[in-house]
Amino acid sequence: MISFEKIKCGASAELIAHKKNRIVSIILLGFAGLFYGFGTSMKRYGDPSGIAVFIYAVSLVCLFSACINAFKDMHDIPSADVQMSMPLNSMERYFSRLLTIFYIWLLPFLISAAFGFLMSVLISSVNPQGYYNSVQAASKLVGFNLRILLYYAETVLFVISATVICQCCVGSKAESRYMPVLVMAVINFLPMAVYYSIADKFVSVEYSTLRLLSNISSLYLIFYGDESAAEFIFLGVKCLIYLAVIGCGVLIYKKRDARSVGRPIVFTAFFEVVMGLSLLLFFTVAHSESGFSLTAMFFAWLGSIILRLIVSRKEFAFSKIFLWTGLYILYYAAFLLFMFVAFKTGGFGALYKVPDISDMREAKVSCVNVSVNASDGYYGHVKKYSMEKNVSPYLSKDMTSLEEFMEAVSDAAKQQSRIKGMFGWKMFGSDGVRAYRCYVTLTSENSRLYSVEFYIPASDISEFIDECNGFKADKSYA
Amino acid sequence: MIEISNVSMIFENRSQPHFNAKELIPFSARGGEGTAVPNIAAGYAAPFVSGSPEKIFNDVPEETVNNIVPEAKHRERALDNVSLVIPDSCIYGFLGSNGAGKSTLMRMICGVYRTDEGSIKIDGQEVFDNSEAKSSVFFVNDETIEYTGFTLESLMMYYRNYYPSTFNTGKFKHLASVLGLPLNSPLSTFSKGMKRQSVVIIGLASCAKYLMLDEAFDGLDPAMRAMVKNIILDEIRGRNATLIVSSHNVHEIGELCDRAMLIHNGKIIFADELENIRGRFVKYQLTSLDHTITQEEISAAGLEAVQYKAVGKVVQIIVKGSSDTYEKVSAVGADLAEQIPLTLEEIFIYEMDTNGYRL
Repeated sequence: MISFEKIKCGASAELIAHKKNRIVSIILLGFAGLFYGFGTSMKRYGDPSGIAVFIYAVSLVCLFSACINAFKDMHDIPSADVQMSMPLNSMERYFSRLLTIFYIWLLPFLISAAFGFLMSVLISSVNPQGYYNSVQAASKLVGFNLRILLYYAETVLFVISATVICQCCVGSKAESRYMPVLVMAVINFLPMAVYYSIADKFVSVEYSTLRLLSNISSLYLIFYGDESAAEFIFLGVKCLIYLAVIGCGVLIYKKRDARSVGRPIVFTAFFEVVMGLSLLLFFTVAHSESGFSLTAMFFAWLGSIILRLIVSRKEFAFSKIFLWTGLYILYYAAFLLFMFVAFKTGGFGALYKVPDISDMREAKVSCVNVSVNASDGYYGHVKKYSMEKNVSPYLSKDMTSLEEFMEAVSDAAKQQSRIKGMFGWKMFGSDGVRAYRCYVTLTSENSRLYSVEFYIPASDISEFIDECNGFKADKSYA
Repeated sequence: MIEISNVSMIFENRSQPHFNAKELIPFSARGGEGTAVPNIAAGYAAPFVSGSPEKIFNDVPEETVNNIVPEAKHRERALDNVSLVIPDSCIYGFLGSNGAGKSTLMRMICGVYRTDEGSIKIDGQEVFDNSEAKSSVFFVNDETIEYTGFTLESLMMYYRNYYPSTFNTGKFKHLASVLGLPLNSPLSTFSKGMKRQSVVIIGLASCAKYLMLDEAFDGLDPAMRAMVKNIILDEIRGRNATLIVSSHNVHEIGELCDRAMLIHNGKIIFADELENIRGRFVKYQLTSLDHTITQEEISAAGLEAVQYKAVGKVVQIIVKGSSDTYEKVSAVGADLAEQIPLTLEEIFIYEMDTNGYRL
C-alpha cells in the first residue's frame, strides 16, 4: 500500500534537508534558461547559445549530486537510522526521493527550458536572422528546440536511472559517487565500442541504423544525428526504458535495510555485472584494431584488481588476488566466446542484412592520406590530401557483390590487403606503410547508408586515381 | 504494546575482542587465600577487590601479562532468540554491555533493521516496512545528528512533515524555550548536548506513542540531565506514552525506569519490573565477634551465596532472594546481621559476570 500523501510529505521534508542543492540548481538553470532564451536563434541551422549549452551540461552535475543526496539513507549510517525509522514504508520512501529530485532539479529545469524555448522563438520571430522570414524562423526554431529538449531529457533520465540504481546497490559514500560515473561511462561507450569492433571485423559495412543504436547518450546525436524518424522514435523508446528502470529500482530498494549501509557493495551480482561490462569495453577497444596486446591486457587486469581492492577494502586478504585473477581470466574467456559467436554469425546476423550491391543507387569514394603502422594498426591522420568522388556510374543492376563493384572502381582498391578476423587485420605485410584510408559510401534505394573502409598503399594511389577516372581533390590541407 | 517474539539477527563479520581477565588480576589482589572474588575485569572489580585498579595492573607479573591473549570473538548473531513484551504506559530501560545488542534491538523495534527470525509487532502490526506501525514510534539515535544546514526550527519542520497528524508545534516551542535552545541558529553551532536536547524535544513534540531514546543523555551535564529527565517524565506520564531508554548508566535507569531488561551477547538475561529484579537478590552484612563467618557456614545455613566478601570479621554476602531468606540468615549465627540495599548496578555486575562478561 502506498500513500501519496506520505510520499508528498516525505519529499517536502527532504526538500528542507536539500535546500542548498535546490538553490544552486535554481540559480544555474535560471541562468541557463536566460542565456538560451536570449542567445538562441535560427540562422541557416539552429544556433543554440554556447553559454546556455555549457550551463545546462554543468547542471547535470547538480542533478547527479541531487540523486546521490536524495538517497543518502543508502550510504550514510546516521541518515539511515533517522530516515528508515520515519513512518514511511520502503516504496513510499523511494518515490518520495524521486519526488525530491523532481523538486530540486527537474521542476527548475522544466521552468528554465520552457522560458528559454518560448523566449528564443519569440525573439526569432521578431528578429529573424535573415535566412528565413519571421514565421519560418519561429517554426524551425520550435522544431530545433523540441529536438534539443528531447535529447536533453533522454540524457537527464539516463543520469537519474544510472545514479539511482547504483545508490540502491551500493552502501558507502565512495561507491555512491564513483560507481554511477563508471556505470554511465560503460553504458555510454560499450554499445559503440562493440558495434564498431564487430562491424569492422566481421561485417565490413557500417550501418547508419546500427550506428544510431550504438549511441546511448543523445548528446552525441545533437551534433551528429540525422533527425530521421527512426532517431526520434529510438530516443522516445530509450526515455521509456529509463523511466521503467527508475520505476523498477524500487524492487532493489525494498530489499535494503540499515544493516547494509556501510558496506561498499551490497549486491555482488551488481558489481560483477559492472566489472564484466567494464572489462568487455576494455577488451573490445584493446582488440579493435591493434590485435592482441599484452600491455593492454596487463593494465586491464591491474585495473580490475585495483577496483576489487577498493571495494573489498575492509575484507582484503592477499590470497584473494588469485581469485580475482581467475575471475579476470573468466571474463576474458567470455569475451573470446562472444567474439567467436560474433564471427560465426557474421556480426550477429548483420552481415546477412547487407543488401545487394544492385540495390544501391548512389556511391561515393573518399580518401584521406594517413600513415599506417602495419604491426599494430595504428594510424594517424596526416590530412595532406582528402579526395572525394562520386562513383555512382560504376554501379550496375547486374552486379552481384561488393567485390565486383570495387573491381569496377579500381583494381588497386580490390587488391587492398586486409585479412579481417577476430584479432585485427594484417596490413600489407610490412611496417610503416604510408597509405590512403578510403571509404566507399553507398546509399541504398531506401536511403540507408552503408560504408566500406579500405586502404590503398601510397605507392598504388596514382593507379587508383587513374582508375577512378580522374579523382579531383575537393579539399586539400596543407 | 510492543511484542518481540523469538527475534534473531545475524551480523556479518562482527568481532568483539576480549581479554581473559583471570590472568589480569593477580592472586594477591583477589583478596588472599580463601577468598573467592568474582572473576571480573579490574574496572568492575573495584568494589570487590582490594587495591586500586592501578595497583592491580602494576602488580601483574610479566609472565602473566604475556599470557593475556586477545581473542577476537566472532559472534554470529547480534540478537539470539530474544522475546520481550513492552507494555503500554511504562518507562522501560535497556541495559547491557557494549555491543550487547541494545541499540540493535531498538533499531529493530523502529523498523530500521529487518529481523532474520521472529517478529516484532507494535499494537499488533509487524513493524518493519509498515508506515502505520512506525507512525507511533519516534526514535532518537545515539549519534549526534548531522543536519548541519538546519536550524532548530527547520529541523522541527522536517520532522513535522513526517508526523503531520500528531505533531504539536506549540509544545515544541515551549520546550525549546524551557531549555533555552535558540530556534534560528544553525545546528552546527550547537554543542553535542544541545543537539541531543533538540532531537529529544522534537521527539516529545511529535506526541508519538512510543518514544525511544538510545543513549540520549550522553553529552548532557548533570544539571541538564536532571532537567531533561524531568521534562521527559512529565510529558510521557501526562499522555500515557511509553518511553524506552537505553543507557550504560545503570544508576540512571534505576532512577528513571519502572521496568528494565538486561541483554548480553544478544541474549536477554532478565526482563522484569525493577522491584522484582531487585527482589531477586538480597545483600546482607554479617559480623561475628569471635571469628570470621566462612562460606561453609553460610552454605550450611541453606543460603546460596552468589557473592562473598570478607573484610576482617565483617562479611558481605549477596544471596538469591526467597521467602525464608531472613530465617536462614538468622541461622548463620552472626552477632550482627543487617540487610543492605542492593543497587541495580551491583545486580548488573553480578549478572554480567555470571554470564561470562570479560573485559
